[in-house]
Amino acid sequence: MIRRIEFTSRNKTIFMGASILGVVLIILGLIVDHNQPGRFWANFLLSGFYFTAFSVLAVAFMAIQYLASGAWSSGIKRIFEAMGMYIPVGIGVIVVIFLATFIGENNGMHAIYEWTHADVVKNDVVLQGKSGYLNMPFWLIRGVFFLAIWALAGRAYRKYSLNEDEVGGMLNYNKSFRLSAFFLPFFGFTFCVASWDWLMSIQPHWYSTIFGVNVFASSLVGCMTLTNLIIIILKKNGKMEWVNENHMHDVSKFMFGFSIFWCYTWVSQYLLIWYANLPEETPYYLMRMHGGWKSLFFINLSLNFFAPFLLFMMRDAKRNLNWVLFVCIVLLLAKYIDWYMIIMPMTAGKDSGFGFYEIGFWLFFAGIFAYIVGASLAKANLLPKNHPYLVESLHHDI
Amino acid sequence: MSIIKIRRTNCIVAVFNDDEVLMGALRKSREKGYGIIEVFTPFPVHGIERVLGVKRSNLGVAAFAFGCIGLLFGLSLTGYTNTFDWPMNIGGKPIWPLLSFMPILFECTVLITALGMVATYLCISRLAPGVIPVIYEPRSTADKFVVLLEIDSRADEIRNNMKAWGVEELRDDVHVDHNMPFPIPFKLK
Repeated sequence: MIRRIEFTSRNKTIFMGASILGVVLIILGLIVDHNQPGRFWANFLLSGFYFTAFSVLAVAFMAIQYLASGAWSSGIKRIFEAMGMYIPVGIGVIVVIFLATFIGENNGMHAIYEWTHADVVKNDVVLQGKSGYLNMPFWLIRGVFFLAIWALAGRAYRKYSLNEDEVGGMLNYNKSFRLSAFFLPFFGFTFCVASWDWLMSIQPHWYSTIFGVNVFASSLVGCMTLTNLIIIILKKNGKMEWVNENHMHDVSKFMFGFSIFWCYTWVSQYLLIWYANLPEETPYYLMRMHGGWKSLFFINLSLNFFAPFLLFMMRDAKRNLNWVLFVCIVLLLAKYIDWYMIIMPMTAGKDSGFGFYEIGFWLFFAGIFAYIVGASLAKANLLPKNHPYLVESLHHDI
Repeated sequence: MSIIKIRRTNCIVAVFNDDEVLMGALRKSREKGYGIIEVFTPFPVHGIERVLGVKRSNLGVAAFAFGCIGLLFGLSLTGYTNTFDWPMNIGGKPIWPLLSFMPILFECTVLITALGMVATYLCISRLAPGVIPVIYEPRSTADKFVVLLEIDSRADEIRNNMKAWGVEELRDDVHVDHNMPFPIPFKLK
């Protein structure tokens, strides 16, 4: 069974057009909302991290499937492989933010991270104590190192899988299995550290030990949402007929389950800070629960937890193509708001809003993401040929 | 515990060797309208529910009901002990702090749901305490697929067809004794 999709010039135009439209909107934003470097760079980080985290989780999810001998996902694993191809763009995001720091006092990391200002650190004992870890070169080295390893792992899975199409046998499966055993512990640790580096250190005085787990849950939901979205788009175009509502049900279950897990970690973080009432921890929530942020704070909780919980609770809801599409769009918005709430209050502050910058940056990265995923999907058979669990996946029935 | 015999149906036991053959025979039996009382398989056969026309169980509704009961139990437990019977001021927090009760509410909901579901499952699977299971064919727990077919006026036709559809062994000296202490909640037809 060789099934390929074509990455037509029309697709290319649409995806590149989205990116170009994004750039135009960003330029419009620069004209309309000029002199807001905090908001500009915060949006760059937000949308850059948004898609990178989802693609990293696609590689990690593939590793989990190999390690757990998951059979049902082998029919859709080319989607995870294609998403993993996006990770190098994340290296670009990190490097651009780092390099932009040298443009001026208010650009790049200076606009996002308080601890990069030498004069602030000089008057702050806590930040001085953390400066061995929170300094610009080490931040860049960590970020690039983590992303490079994740990207290499994604590429290795892709290589083994494509090689498997040609030669067959168990050799490539065993290689992927062994790679997963090394990759998953590394990923689990480094993803937490990366979330501290890129998101939590925006408020360097505040820390939460469950923060990394919360970001991981968000990212896994986002990854599964994008997977479902790609399946739906392909199915609406008459491709991927071997993927039926049973596979969609399983992907949706991950969205449902990890939305609840997200809320679990969210409550764990909030409850302890609320109960202990410690002066160095409460400002994080005080800032977000009062003033203009208050409504968004509760929208965040409703969209990320109550919406998927209620919309996805029924079995039939997870198997209906159009209903799943609706929930996917809700959750993509919800994940954006989740990280918006983490990044914006400290970086953009009073300038923050929803305008050209937000839409522009999101479109810019979404266009690149869609282009890379589409091109990668078209490069190989949509259905892996010699995967040992393929037959089981094709007959998946729940 | 006394066991009441509710229903006594004459039937035959058809033993199959292969699940694909079994599925084919079941499909054809359904087309002909034979009464299939029960099927015993050594492992879960995918898609057999659709062939038998079994409706999805409403276990989810039971779970939701038990969850609501558990939540109410948690609410009343925390509310009564910490708010009405002996109000306590802990760290200046509200007198009925729902947020700090959340772990308790969550755990109560999960506990009552889990226990209730186990009880419900045991009931509808006829595994209530005191029930002596009727084993029609001991090999159905090893490697054979066993079908209980109701014998009506078409007995000879059923036997002949079963042989034609690949049955390995037919026994017709058995009748079903449903020895449940309460009526059977569902019936396969």
